[in-house]
Amino acid sequence: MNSLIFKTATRYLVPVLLVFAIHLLLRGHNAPGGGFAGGLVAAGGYTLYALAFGVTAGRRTLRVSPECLAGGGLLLAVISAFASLFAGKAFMTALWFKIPMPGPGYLKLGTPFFFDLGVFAVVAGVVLLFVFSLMEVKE
Amino acid sequence: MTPCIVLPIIFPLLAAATCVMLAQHRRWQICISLLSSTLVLLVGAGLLQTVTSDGLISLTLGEWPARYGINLIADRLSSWMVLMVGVLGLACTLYTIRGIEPQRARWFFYPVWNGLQAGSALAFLTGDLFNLYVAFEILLMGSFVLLAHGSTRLQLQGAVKYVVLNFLASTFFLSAAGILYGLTGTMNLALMGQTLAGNPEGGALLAALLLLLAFGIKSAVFPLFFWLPASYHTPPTPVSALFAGLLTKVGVYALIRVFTVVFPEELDMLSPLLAWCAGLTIIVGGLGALAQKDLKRTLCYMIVGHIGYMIAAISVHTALAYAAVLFFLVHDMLAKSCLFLTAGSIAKRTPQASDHGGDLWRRDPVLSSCFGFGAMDLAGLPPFSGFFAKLLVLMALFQSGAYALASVALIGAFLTLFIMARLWIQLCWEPGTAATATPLDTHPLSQRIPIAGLALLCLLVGLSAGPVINSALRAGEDLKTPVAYRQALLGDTK
Repeated sequence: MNSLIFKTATRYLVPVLLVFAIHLLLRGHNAPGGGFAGGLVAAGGYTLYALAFGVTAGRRTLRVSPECLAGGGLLLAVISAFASLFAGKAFMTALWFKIPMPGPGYLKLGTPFFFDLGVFAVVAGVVLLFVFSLMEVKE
Repeated sequence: MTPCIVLPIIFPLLAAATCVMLAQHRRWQICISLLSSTLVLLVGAGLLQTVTSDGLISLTLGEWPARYGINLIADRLSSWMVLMVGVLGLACTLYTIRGIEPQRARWFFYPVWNGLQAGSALAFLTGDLFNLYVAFEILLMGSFVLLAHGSTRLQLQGAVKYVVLNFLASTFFLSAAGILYGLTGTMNLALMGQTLAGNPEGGALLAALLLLLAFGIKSAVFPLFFWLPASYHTPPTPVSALFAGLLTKVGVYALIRVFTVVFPEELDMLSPLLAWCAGLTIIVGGLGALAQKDLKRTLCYMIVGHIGYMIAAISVHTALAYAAVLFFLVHDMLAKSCLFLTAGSIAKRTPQASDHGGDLWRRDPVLSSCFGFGAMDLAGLPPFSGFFAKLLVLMALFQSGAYALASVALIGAFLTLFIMARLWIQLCWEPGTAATATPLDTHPLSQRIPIAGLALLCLLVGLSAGPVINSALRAGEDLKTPVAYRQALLGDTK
């Protein structure tokens, strides 16, 4: 799509979309959002970029192939489910760690987060795989 | 040993994930898929052994209370089925090495292939209704992709019928799950059964009917069977072989599992309906197969006909009948996959339009003996496993006084024998035309091994019928009175 307005707007919109995607991912544990929604928004951002600057540019900006993103995400999700076995608990039990941070606070990190991160990557990867393939067919 | 129970689901899932990442490397994908199927086979054997010696294995994921959590549970029936997923997965994956076009590997054939196996393992191991639904959806998506993969005209025609009817089944399933959740407040099969027992609710009967409809479509029971012969012969050989071995049987399994644990009373009420459906399925499957000229299409109707036997046994729902269904499932999975793989190889060796090449006995004795093994097994000749499978079903029917259904089953058995004998004569003995007189190209080892392996297994299960039947009889008693199953599934919930 050869429109200066669209291209310029895309440059500003894509970072916002990606940050919003991460925001959705992080708030997903306690509030509406999560890996699925976040992954969709992230895929939306890259789709916008690919529409504005072409599929080749879209793929280059993503750096990893959508196949690797989807497969890696699934691997991450499955492995995060295995973690509890090593702690002697049932499969897929949530494990939480408190990591002290500089200042008064701490970071609460757990296996459900990694599972959600995996979901995020699977959704983003699969959607982008569809979108890029379809756009390449069109070209 | 308990964590073992997630492995048959996790191995294919991990294999699928790695195969997606290695989309450009066909060899690696094949190796990973073979490895995953082998591991599923070994874990399945391990599960069966543990269940036989120590009793049920159950696990609630994430240490949630059993009422809310995702429950996995393995009894004898589940373990046998998981073992069969491994066996069929291994055989059919071996066949894919030379049985599908190499470029398919780049278009995510193997990830979906492994996903399908993960879905079947989940269906066989899950202890709650919603995960059974999820497993059915995974199976539906996987099988739809594999059916349409390559998108030839014939394939898409078959796939559309397949997906429309199966979506309908999923809708029924989901509605039934919703009703049951409303009635009982849980998805745990055992807890559902406990809550429903003793207080007859109109809603429960409605849910039971909807589930019967959903599983009936999935397992291709009369009058909901026509999607199967329209679609199963269209995809490449290993895909139809895996479908023939696994998919309809998942429907039969779900029917047994849900109705024994949740709806024992409704099963009593619905059994005349089941008996009618079973009888008609046997006859329609047999007559349909009789009318077909194409080898794979004939086999498709044979799948339908043999589903009828299992439904017939379920309709009398005695311990012996459940044992018969288990044995029949094992036998049918082996025989159908073996025959579909053989049919694919025969079709490749006889390049003219019809699959009735003729003169195969002279041109390729090994392939035709494998076909003969599968055919005799399906026709139910001793000492093959099919003989004992049909014998057990007939015994169960006679024991419960279902003489009409038993005679229908006997007619069906005679039809199968006739059809298989006719196929054998046409394919193997009839002298070939000039086109078939040409020498055969070599039959690749990666196709020969799975075919011969499955054919030998058909014979082996028949020869060692004693232990298998013993295990099936014990499983039948457990299914008839699923006290231990319920207890294990309830966990600490009282």
